[in-house]
Amino acid sequence: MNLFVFPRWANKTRQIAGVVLGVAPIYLIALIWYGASPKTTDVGYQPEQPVPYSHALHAGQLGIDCRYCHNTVEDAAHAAVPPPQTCMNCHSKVWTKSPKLAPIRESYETGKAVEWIKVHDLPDYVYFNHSAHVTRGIGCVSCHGRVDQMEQVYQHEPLSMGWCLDCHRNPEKNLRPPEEVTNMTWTPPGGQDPVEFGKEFREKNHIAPPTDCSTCHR
Amino acid sequence: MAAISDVNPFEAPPKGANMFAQITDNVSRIAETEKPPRAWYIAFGFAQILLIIFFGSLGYVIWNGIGVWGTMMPVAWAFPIVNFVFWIGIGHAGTLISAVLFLFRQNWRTAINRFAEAMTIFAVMCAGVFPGVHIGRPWLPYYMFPIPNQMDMWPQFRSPLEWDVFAVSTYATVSILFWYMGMIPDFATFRDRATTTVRRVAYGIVAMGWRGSSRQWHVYERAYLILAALATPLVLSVHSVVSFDFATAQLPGWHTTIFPPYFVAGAIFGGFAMVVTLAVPARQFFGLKRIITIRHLELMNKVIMATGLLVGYAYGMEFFIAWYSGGKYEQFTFINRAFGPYAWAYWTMISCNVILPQLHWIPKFRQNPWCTLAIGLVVNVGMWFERFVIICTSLSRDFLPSSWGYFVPTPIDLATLGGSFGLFFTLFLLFCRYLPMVAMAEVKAFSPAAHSHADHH
Amino acid sequence: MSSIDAKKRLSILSNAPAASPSSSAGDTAKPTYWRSLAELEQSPEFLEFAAREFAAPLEQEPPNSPGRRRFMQIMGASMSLAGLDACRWREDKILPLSRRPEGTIPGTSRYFATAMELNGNAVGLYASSYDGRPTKIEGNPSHPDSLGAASAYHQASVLGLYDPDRSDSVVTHAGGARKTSSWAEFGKVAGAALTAQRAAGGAGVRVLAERSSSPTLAEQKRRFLAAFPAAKWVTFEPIANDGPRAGSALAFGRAHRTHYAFEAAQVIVTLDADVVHPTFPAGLANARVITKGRAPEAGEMSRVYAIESAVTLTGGISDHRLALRSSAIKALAAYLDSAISAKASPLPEFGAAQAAPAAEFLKDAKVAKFVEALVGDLLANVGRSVIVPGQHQPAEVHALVHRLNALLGNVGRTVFYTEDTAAEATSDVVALKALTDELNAGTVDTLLILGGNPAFTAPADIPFADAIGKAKNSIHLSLYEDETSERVGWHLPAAHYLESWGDAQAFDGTLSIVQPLIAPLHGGKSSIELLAMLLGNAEPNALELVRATHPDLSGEHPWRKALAAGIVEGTAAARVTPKLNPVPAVTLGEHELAGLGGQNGKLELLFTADPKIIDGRFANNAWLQELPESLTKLTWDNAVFISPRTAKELGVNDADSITVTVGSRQVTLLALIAPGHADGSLRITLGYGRKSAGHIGGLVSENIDPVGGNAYLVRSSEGYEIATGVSVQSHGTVNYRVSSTQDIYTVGDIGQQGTQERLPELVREGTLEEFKKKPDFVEEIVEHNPLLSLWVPPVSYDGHKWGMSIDLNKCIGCSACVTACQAENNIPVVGKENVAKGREMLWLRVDRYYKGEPEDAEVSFQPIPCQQCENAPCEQVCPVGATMHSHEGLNDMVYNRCIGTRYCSNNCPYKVRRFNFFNYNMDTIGITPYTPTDDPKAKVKAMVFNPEVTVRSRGVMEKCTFCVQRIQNVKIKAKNVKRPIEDGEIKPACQQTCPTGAIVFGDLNDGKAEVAGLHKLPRSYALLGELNNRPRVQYLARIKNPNPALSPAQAPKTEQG
Repeated sequence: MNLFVFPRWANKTRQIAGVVLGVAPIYLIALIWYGASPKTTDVGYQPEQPVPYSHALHAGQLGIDCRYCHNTVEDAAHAAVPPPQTCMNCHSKVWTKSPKLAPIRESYETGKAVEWIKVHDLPDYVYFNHSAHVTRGIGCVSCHGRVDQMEQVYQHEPLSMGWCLDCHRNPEKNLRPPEEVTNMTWTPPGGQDPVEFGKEFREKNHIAPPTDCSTCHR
Repeated sequence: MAAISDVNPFEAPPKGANMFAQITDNVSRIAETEKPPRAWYIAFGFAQILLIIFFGSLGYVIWNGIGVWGTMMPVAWAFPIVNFVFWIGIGHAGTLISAVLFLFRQNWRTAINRFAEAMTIFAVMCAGVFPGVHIGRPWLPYYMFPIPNQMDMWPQFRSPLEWDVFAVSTYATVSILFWYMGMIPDFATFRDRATTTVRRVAYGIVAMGWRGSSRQWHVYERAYLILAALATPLVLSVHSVVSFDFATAQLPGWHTTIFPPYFVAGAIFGGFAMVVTLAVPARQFFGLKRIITIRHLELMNKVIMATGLLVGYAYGMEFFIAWYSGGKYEQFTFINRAFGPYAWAYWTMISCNVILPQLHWIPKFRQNPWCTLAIGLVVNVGMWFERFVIICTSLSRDFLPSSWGYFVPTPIDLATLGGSFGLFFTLFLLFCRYLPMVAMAEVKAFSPAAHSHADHH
Repeated sequence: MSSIDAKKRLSILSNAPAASPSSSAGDTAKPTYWRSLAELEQSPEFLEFAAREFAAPLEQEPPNSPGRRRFMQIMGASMSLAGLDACRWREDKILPLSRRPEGTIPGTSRYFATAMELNGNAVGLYASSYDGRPTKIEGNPSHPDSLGAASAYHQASVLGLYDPDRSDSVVTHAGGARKTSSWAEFGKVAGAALTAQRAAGGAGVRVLAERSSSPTLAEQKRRFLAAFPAAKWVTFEPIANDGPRAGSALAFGRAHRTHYAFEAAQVIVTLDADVVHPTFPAGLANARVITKGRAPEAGEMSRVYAIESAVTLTGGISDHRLALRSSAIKALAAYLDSAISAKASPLPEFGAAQAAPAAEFLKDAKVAKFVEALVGDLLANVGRSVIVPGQHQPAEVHALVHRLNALLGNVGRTVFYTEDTAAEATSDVVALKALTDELNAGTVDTLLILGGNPAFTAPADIPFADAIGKAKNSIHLSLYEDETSERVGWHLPAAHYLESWGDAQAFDGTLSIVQPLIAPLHGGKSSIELLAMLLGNAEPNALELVRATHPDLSGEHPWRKALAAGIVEGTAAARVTPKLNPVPAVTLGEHELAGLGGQNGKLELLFTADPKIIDGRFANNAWLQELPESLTKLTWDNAVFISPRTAKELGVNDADSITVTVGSRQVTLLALIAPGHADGSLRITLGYGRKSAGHIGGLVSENIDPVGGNAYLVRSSEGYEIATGVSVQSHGTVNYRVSSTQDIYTVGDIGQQGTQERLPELVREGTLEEFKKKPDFVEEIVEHNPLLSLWVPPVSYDGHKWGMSIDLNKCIGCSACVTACQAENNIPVVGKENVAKGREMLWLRVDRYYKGEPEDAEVSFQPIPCQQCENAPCEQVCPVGATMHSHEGLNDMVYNRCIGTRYCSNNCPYKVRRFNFFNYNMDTIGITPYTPTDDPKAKVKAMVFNPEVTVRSRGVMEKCTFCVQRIQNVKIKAKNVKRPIEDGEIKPACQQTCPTGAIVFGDLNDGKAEVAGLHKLPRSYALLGELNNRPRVQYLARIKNPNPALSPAQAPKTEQG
């Protein structure tokens, strides 16, 4: 009677299987590791805003301090987006006719809000407080990047939990004198190594960023 | 079928007949025959209905939230976990029979070990379903595995649930390997007897090119021995770890040092009960009377009796310790168990697990397949109630009387429980139909014929 | 947070209408608000916001709303692969105000003082405004009737503000069918009707108003009656009691209000009076003062005697309680008078004493002993005692008590009087009857009903509901389209007190300005505005009207001051010492003289305002419906309370359905056996059984069954407060589910035995003597081995170490803290079915235990928040680390990490963890962040949420966090300016609202912190401390001050062996 025997080519399957089983997991892990990481998915998010407001122009060239518009940053959780009122302080005098500013003027007159699109968007169960960071000496640039060079603001950092924890565990590299927080180009005086400076600064001001769950989750 | 079972493979062979062939024939025909007995179809249809109910109810639960179960506060664990522990328990006999009895050279195991192992695997599969679906957010169970992630979060290894994850998955893996290993030679037999190409190729592939050469046998035996040695500690570990879920908790009625041995004993108890429950009909309908003999049933009944007594001892000891410890809450829990609102469950458990199995003291009784079957069923019920009593009654009345409650199952609860049997029997019936139900190779090795001409060795 | 802060911005209104009067005047001037809402309605994040909103109760298992499916996909996806592009968070928008008012910081809350009036008494409140929407109500510490406390219904009123069932349009039934109309339309019609009446001086005009203390309303009333001299103004308040008015009139010739200085009282006697209950005049303040005088550390404690039928909160804290039928109180008072007059030899002008009544019950040994001891104690404390009569007791009892207090020299020391200028000449019932007769006589042309729901609340024998139609024009101003609105020609939407300007007076007359926090959501008007409108002011501006009433506040400074303080200093009524007239001999009927108990047909039935929904006005408030009633822990229901003995005699079992027959009237409801209840007495609370309350309280037109049974059906003007000659018939257990959050008394013999056995350990009690002898007696109550831990503590609590102390001597079980917690922490309502399954979500529960024999059980309360164990059993069993220990000793609960194994709850000895078995917050409202809706009502509901707290979804565990959001906010503020946190700066919601200050939270590492001191007190103990969980919450043992003459109320049972 004819017994079943594996055909000769079957021997190859072993090698093939070996290769596949060996490589596939690595590939898969790498794919997810990179593909699903916020570095890939979130960084660079740059929505089209209703008003082509250029931070590069205002914050960069004109050198307007961040806090002129985001004035609540030092004493509130939210660095409030300015009301059109603020824009009109200047734009009632300059570029008063510019079509680009039409939405601002309209909002200022009608009271209907300009619908800015949120760029740095944390999940609802995360309670981030700007004042707590700014007053401790974490610069705007650390989380928002060189906004003064952005025509249209985009997300510069992953803003993932792991990313937050990195800094909460060793904040040295991001510490600076509170009065310098809005300075985009600040470096430690006398070319001191930032981390060194951070260490001293942390010592001096007893900065101990908590990593308890309730620090951010309520 | 009757025709087959009339051939007694253990009798001295009639002239010109090869008795090994008889055994082979006896077992293989089950898988080869065109039409299985009507009983099989009835059973399979029934299992299918239950299976549909199972998936239906699970879908409903996942869709609506586990509130559709009776689960409540304070009884935050109820049917799902009871079922989980129940099935895990069933899954013990298999490895015990195939590994432990093998190491102890209990040759009678050969008749039953194959489908005991199958039963084990199917039971573990049923058990595996529950932890996954009982959680509040069934789409996130992977939080329990140590996977690197952007949150820098890690599982919490102090939690017994975390231990479960590893204990159970290890057990499942080893059991499957064990089962499959054992079947390889028999697959080869099927392959060689195959009449259709499909069967030939299918069995051929799973037989992995087994030729039965003495070298292969040599390696095979060694591997089998090693696996057995590996599997043995698992028999004890799995249910010990499962029992930690309760033993390490602070709840009176759970917080008990006796749990690990008590659970293991209970598991073997329930496991064997399930084996006989399956063995009796199987030998009946597939004509294996001559392979799974009364002697086998009797031996298993003795194991059931022994473990039953162990379990009974544990019940008693719990009460003693509660009294002896002087712990007010502990004492209350046990009095409440026996005479509180859940007394009915407690006494069901006692009568099923401790009282009725004592009938096996009577030889006539334990040698009767149908009595064996009856006790098997009774013990299965009892063991389910044991878990219910431990989990639900303890939870329903803990420390603060203000938070006491009374759990009442909903129809969905019952559907999920009943349905899980559907999954189990479906798998088991398919196994009976298509896979070598008895380890032919091993049976042969211990059949009289194998020893008739010892001079060959 | 992101989308929250989007919300925070978008919902910024120019913060206080307080600041912008324009925004407060009804539909004409609502643009500020409506513009923003219009905005809101389109903006996606509002929809999302709406999704995190309050859930209507879950009547049964939730529907498979596509909402949840979407929710699962998206949440599932976004939680797992935090933001693959495919499932990136939805795009959020930021909507800045076009002009941000000075000093507003988006995403922060500010507090505004206002006041809420009930039955003519105002309680001063602080309302927090989160970006312009009120989210939380708290008490105003400077208000005499609040002292910083707010009751459950005060706090729940904010939910009522956003109730989508509120009436949102003028409705007319003119011509039969219901048509929505407009204010303008109404103005025309009403104007016409009234001008027609002017000729006759308004002879055909009748106004039926709720009781109110508002001077501005009084002013409007004056003008109205000036314009229509022949018109009549009738006041009807279903929960108003006539006893105090008539009683004081009887004793002093003129109506007076009685004020008690409990702090000066050594012996406090309540005759069927629940003085510490929020519904009692100045009840919140009484609670604070009385419990203050009961701190054993002071060495001296006041002694409280409670003689009452139903167990009250006062009875709960009393040292001695005598269960006595309410109808027997009169005879008892008479007896006290005879006994005390005999010893006190009253002045001749006080007149003759009552003759000792030949009452059966006085012959009872127990009663006699009690009364004897009581009299002795009163005479031993002349000028240092106080007797308080129950509000629902008849005039004679009040008169007698006035006399007693005078005899005992309490007047001017513990008892003070002010003239009750607002008091009407007759009782409300009489007035309403007269009005009804006029209606039936057809002499009423225009009937104006200002608030209230008289068609539902009128006495059963006064056919007011049917009579309404007899008036040519009938107008009803109310928050809801209720039973009355259905019967009138015109229904007008009323403005919520948080929506409109007004003023109101405390019980002692102190004036408060009622300040709105938001413009009317539904274009409602207040009574003030409506009257002004009817008087010809087309565009009434409540603010101006109020300011006009108070010329002395005309200046900007005094006005601002009044608004900021919430009260106007020095406006309390002058205290007077009225001359006491002789009290004529009281008439005592059969019921008053009968013995204890009482057989069927001779029972008494006591009607009281429901502690939660009062007279039914809050029936549609889910927070209140689900709030467990203090004693029965009953939710979503009312019941007839029966004493265990009487129940046995009548063959009534617990939770039986029974029919109560009063005269010719019957009502069938649930019977609850209430331990400690007086034999022969029944009690029903009013306000349930509403048929047109709304989707929560019952809406028969939409097949939503009424909640509970309607007690008004058997409440007739005879026996209006206490009905006698009542009979009961039991129908046995019917297929009806009682949803109480704690087992009703009987939990089987074994359970009962177990409970009684462990009670002394759980709620530790002692007497003042024992305490003095051995201050740390609590230590001995539980014997256990030295507590050792296997591990070194994982955290060293340098820095803060949060802890809480709960004083069982102060807790009166009023459950205000429970609602506070619910409001603060966005706790969903789960509905009756789920409560019955023990799935209520309330983070803080107040356990109620009965001690001793059911017949005269003693009550004790024990609030149970999460104990925040240092050695927490919940933490170590969570497989995913969703509940972790913080460096300050909190058990942080991380919802977004929780997968819902519920193991933590199993391992929690206090069972304080709550699980979202369903998507309580999302399913039942029908929208999710991912399924937009255009239903504005659904969206308005969302506004009640506190954006500082995550709204939990299905399948996660949650529990008390010590209000970690409050902790964090204060910590950050303090650290920003590098200053230490003051003790008491952080107050959890429960502590903040507690009327008695029983709950104290603080930093145990701060030596000066109050809580640290309390934890060191010898009577401080850890609940189940023997388990070595090291809870951060500790309880102060309850100390009673029994009268030696009576057997010790409750000796601490120390378990030996």
